[in-house]
Amino acid sequence: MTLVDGAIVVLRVVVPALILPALVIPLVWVERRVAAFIQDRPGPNRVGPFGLLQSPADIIKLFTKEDVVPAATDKFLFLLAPSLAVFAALSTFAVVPYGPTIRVAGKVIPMVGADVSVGLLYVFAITSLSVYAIVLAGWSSNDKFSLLGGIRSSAQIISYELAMTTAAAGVVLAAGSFRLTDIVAMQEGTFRLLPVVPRWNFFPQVIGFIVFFVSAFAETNRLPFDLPEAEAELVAGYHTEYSAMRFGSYFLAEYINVIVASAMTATLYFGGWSLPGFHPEGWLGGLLGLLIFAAKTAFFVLVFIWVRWTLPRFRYDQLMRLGWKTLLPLSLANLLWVALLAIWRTSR
Amino acid sequence: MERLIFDAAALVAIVFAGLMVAGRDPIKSVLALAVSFFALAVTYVLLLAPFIAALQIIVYAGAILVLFLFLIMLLNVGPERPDGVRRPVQTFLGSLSVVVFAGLLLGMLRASGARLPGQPEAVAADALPDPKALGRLLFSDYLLHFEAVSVLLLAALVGAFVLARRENAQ
Amino acid sequence: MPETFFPILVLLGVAAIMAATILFLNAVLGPKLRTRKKLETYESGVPLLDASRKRVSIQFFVIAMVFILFDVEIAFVYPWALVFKAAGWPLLLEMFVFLAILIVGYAYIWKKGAFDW
Repeated sequence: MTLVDGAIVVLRVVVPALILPALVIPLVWVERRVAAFIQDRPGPNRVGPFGLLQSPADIIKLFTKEDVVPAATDKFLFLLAPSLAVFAALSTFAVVPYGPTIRVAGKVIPMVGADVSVGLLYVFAITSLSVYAIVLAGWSSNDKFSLLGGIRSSAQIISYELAMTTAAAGVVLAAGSFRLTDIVAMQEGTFRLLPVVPRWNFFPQVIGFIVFFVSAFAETNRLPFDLPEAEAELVAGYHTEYSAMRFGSYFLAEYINVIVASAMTATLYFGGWSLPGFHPEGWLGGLLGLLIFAAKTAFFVLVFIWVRWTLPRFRYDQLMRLGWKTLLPLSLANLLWVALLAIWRTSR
Repeated sequence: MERLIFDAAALVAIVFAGLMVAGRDPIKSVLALAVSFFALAVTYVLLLAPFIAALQIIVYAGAILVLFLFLIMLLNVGPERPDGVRRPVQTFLGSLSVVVFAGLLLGMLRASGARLPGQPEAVAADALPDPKALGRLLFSDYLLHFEAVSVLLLAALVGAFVLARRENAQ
Repeated sequence: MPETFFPILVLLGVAAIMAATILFLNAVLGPKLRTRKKLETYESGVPLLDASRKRVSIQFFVIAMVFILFDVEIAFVYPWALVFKAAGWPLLLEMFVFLAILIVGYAYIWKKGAFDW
């Protein structure tokens, strides 16, 4: 392997990891403007044109604020927890294909960080670690609001993780692979019976999609599932005692998680970077594929924001009931349906 | 390069497993164990078993250790405090038995002609643990075992629930 | 094959450095004006009333326990889903029996109120 090849391998995975946190800056602005639009008020519009510089200003503020560590905390864990949140959020994207495989200057470059055989499982493995960031914040803060928020949140995350992984098993069944590039590849083109409909998993597995997407809200702690924060009852939940960029770290991780969850939804159920009739050629094809992927991801990010400012928060008992009594059976039913569908397809 | 990463990961796994045992704060012990599991997952990947590596993290670090964390919070276990009593005899005997046991183990391994760690056996490329092969094997040759696992899970499910509920029933 | 995981190892390193840099920059840039009042635990503006680490509901333990068991179930479902397409009916029946036994327990704890708070 030459030096150039090695550099390409590293850049393929590092560049997205640098772009993701940078995307959070405009995303926060979009969230606040959309929220304002939904609530019929102007929103941030003073700092820079259309208030675009509001987010950069907020970031400068967070960085120059005092990082208060309350006396009663466990200093080491208090420091570790927010870093863990950012670490897990940044690591998830590594296996998601963000474009087609392109040939530039005689080099074959697959537009994916690491095309590993257990891609989907890697994503679930890393997301299962985000529980630690929240539990440890709750415990180390030595504050009753933080502890309640932390333990509530972890119970919520593990409950919805079950429904989410079971729903995604339907996609694995249809693709016969854990590799995310395989999952994208099997969704290229259109259905044989209905040649106008793209072969996206969304159509045969609409129940699985609903379970997956609803669980994604719970996994990212977004409204209507933001029980760990629940500012009306728990002050700010697990990050009550956090200030400055330690608080900002949780904020950053949440938004990165929203982007990654949207990207995963687009990849698993909506064909990722592919479109029927789109056959990427050269670097232009790669760019187009990237744009298609970005457009699909942006759509789900907007749905995340839209839902947040439209639905009220669940009560905790409702949340647990929805996860265990509705989504879990639904995801199992989806799996049975997908299995029957696969048998029907092979028998034809 | 791979060998270097493997050795580093193995070392991390052992050191953090030791820290887990030696730690006084239960929460930090759980964390040390999580790091140890992670390092183990890295070694699994290098041993060409990425599927097992992923399960290692999802099931052990993501589920079982979370239960441990819950239990520690549930029982509100604080850090253990040293009782201030010195036990020179016990410390000496303990260290001695570790050395003797390690020596015995090494001697036995040498005498029996078994392969020592660090002398890997050559494996044919088609015998590698591929998740598909695992699946095929599990649902054909090991079908009975697989179905028996569900009975085990059923017993655990009901058992855990009944144990947690006992006081409410009275 | 392990070399396909090499980028992930690089990324894990980069992610760790980035997470640490954020907090380091903040520690350098932020002011440090510590007062005793500021370092008190938050209690909605009144003096701290009691210990913050209380025992929490046993329900959380039940949820975590059930989660582990279902996680193990999923560990079996995934290889099953992976090889399903080639096998068809017999494999569906095998998984059906497996899940049916587990669902008996699920129905039992549902009926006994494990998911009611």
